[in-house]
Amino acid sequence: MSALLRSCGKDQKRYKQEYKLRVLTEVTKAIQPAMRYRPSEGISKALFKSAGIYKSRIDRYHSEDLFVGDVGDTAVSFSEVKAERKDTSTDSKGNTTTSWHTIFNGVFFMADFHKDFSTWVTVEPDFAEKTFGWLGKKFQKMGGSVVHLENPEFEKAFVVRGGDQVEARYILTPSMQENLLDLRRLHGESLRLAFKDSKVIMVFTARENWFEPDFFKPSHEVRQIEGFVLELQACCSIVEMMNLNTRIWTKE
Amino acid sequence: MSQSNSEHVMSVIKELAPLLAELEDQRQGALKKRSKGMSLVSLAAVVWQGPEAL
Repeated sequence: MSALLRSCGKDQKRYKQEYKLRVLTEVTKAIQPAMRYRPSEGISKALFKSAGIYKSRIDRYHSEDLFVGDVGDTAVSFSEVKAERKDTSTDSKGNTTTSWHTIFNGVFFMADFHKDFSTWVTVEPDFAEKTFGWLGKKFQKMGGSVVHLENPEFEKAFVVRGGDQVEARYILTPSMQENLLDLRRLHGESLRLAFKDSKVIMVFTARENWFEPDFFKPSHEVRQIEGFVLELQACCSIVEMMNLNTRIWTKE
Repeated sequence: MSQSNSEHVMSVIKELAPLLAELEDQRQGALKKRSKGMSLVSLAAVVWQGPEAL
């Protein structure tokens, strides 16, 4: 009987894999012709770590549903990522407990930025200032490299750190700050960004598993395919929302 | 989703109809097998623990 149940699990997995490989790749081609969908591939752990958005140690890492290609003139890639850390604690009796802490579970998006730059900048949710007010602001400064910008709404939402104050402002222009606030409204408060090597990296948590067919829904269900299209468009629209197709004179 | 996008998605679904039908057959087959498996699990529980297991 356990063999039968195991076989049922395999059937479900096989169905989902085939659906992704055969249906969702075709839907991607039709909706975003310059994008390619590789369901079993993902963003490498090294690339995820090198973004510098999460400093925590990663003990378990999985990435799937990779999309690679162009949106207009901009080269982009995005994928689902789940990164976890293993925490082990020992109580007074010597019993060891192991738990897994999710560092990130959501979408990792990377695109060519429309300006060249040589510094690094991170944009993270401003939890410290939101929770502790002026005291939180003091703590932020202790973290070093904080860049203060003029937009009060942006300052309230994000804390910006950068290697060079002038270049950080060259990247985060007033209109770019407005664009990032719009993206935060769309993707939620978990939104984080990194600007590095003339690229922009953006991550946001997803409540559900994106780009995933539901085994219990009919294959031809329109809503399911529309849901996939909406997820695809939500990622591709980042290019428009950040105005990345507008080439700045310094960018080839 | 906008009207034009929705129409575009519908035309893609139409084009993929044979493939979707093939996958739906595969899904139905897997569902039947699963339902058989679940019945066997229930039956085994009854044999093991009596009718209270249900």
